[in-house]
Amino acid sequence: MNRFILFGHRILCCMFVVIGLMMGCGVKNVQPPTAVAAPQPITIEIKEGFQWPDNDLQKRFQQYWTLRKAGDSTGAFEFEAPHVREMVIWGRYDGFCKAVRSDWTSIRVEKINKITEQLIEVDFNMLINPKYGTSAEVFYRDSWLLIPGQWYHVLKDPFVTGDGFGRK
Amino acid sequence: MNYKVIRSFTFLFALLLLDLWGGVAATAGVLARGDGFVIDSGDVEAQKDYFLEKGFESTDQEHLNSVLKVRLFALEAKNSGLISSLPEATGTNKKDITEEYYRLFLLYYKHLMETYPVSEEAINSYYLSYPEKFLLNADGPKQDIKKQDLWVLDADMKNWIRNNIVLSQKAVIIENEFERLKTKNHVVIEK
Repeated sequence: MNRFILFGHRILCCMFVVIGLMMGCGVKNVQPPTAVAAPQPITIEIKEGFQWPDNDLQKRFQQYWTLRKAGDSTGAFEFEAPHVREMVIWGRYDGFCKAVRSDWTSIRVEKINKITEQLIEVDFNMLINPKYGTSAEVFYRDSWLLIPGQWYHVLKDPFVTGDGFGRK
Repeated sequence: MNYKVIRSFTFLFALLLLDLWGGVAATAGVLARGDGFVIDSGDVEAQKDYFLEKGFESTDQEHLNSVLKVRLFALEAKNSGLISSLPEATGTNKKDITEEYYRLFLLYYKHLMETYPVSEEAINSYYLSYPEKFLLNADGPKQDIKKQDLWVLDADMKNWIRNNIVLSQKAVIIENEFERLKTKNHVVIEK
């Protein structure tokens, strides 16, 4: 009988220990996660004589490519134009953002092509980290759309947006 | 007296066997079931033949998935009031209703695509982002395009853009709806 009581007592003690541990873990989980440091803004150079048509565009462009360089597809997605956000399949977009090279060090903006009053193209070069002693540049053309008061990136990649028509 | 008892027991035993046999026969070919429907190997074979005639080949698992999708979409067509009743097999050969189920699947698919929500903001954003698609004169300017160079964004144009946006999401829309209907109809796939 005594042995039985002793056994029951031990079980009870073990349960208290387990419950205590679980509560301890629970308290740890309740603590707010450490804030993730915002990525360091990328360096944007501009070609001699180049001028941004709009300060907000310059800011949004830098913020967007900072997020892309950091691999923050969720953050970058918020910069995409409304139709892109409704057309794109998230997994495909996420994969696309992660697949695009991020070994570039800075961006040099070459020129702006004004397509319409609200749509512009930004031609720029990505300066690639010189691995074998020589530096390289990759040309990019970005589209940006001004929808009342805000510039949005327009992703024009038919493989990502699924827009079978793509560019003309 | 003994004879009567033996006869009664024999009769009951025979009934029990028949019932068991019937039950086994009914469940032997069952591959999936949901609220108010069962999919058996006959359904899958019938659809396999139907698609084979059209030149499509798939694995057995894909065929089962496809039968399930067709069945659930047809069921939803009825539940949403697009049709009044579902087709029923007249005999053991299910080939005759396979085509009818597929027709109902397409009916619900069309309804799904037509009612899929696309925001006005997205339509407008698409129109503004691809001015080259809306040029009145296809050989017109490709830069510094003016508003008057473009087709007006009227109801027809909006509908065209809307369809483009929906089509780009076609696969996702279908798969999401399939998953929703599987949950709604408590679908269980037999191991």
